[in-house]
Amino acid sequence: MEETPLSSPQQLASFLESVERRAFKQAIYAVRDEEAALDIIQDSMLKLAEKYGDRPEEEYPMLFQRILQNTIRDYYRRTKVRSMWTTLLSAFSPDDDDDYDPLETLAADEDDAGPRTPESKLQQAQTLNLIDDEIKKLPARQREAFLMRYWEDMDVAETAAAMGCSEGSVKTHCSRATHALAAALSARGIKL
Amino acid sequence: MNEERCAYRIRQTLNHGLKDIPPAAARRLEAARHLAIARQKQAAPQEALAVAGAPSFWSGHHAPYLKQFLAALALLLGMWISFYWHSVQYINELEQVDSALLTDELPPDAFLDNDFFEWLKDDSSEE
Repeated sequence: MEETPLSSPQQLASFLESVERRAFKQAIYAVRDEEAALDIIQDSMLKLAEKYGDRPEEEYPMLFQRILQNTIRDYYRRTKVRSMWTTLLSAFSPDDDDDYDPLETLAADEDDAGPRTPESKLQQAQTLNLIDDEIKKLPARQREAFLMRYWEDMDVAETAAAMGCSEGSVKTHCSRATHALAAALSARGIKL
Repeated sequence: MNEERCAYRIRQTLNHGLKDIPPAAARRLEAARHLAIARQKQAAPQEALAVAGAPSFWSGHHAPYLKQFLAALALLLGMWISFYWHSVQYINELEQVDSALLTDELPPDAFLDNDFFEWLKDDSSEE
């Protein structure tokens, strides 16, 4: 009988390295707090490694997303119980806008397929900020589905398994999220 | 706008933004990754022995139970030796008494022992 090859530490390391930044941003969109997001990512990584570290590498994306979403939900529950006002205040916070420095974006690597001119770089940075804001405003399920499907590049079945819902629901969430984002960006003068 | 195309453009922008993650956060992410790898659940030893062609009870994920199994085995062996030794001793004693009875070489003290007579009665009633 052919057995599915189990994962080595190198495979887990490369998987985590490939997803950690996106996962961090996902957590920030959800909890809107950098420290909490980092804690959530650390917990999720540990859970994946300790409980599912011996699983085949192909299962990592779905497992990690499921763990990440559950950890985010646990954070919501804890925060709700601890203090309602923190959540309410954070909804009105400027989300690190004070720290935003266009020069940092301009100093980014130039070896990618991104914009080349200073104007286009600044425009892209502003677009990114707007997209970040609009993604934060999406309903949680729509945001999860959209990010898993289009940013994590998971297929509909994987996304449905990670979210614990039907494939039809994933398609609906993704469609609504994309249209909401497109409409919001269009309303602010951004053409994708 | 086409949904897929719109999503693709958003994805491109989001990917571009990944470079702007603060260095402190990036360091924490790296530290978390290293911690997770250090605690990774492993099944490698079993796999290595299986490749060598000798997967057995003694290897792989059975290994944690090996100590318990050996301890139980040692306990059972000890109980069996103790039982065997007592049986041998008991039989020897019976043999001595029987041979003494058969050869009429009972020590005089035996006839003063009430338990001995009780035993003789029980023994005879069984036959």
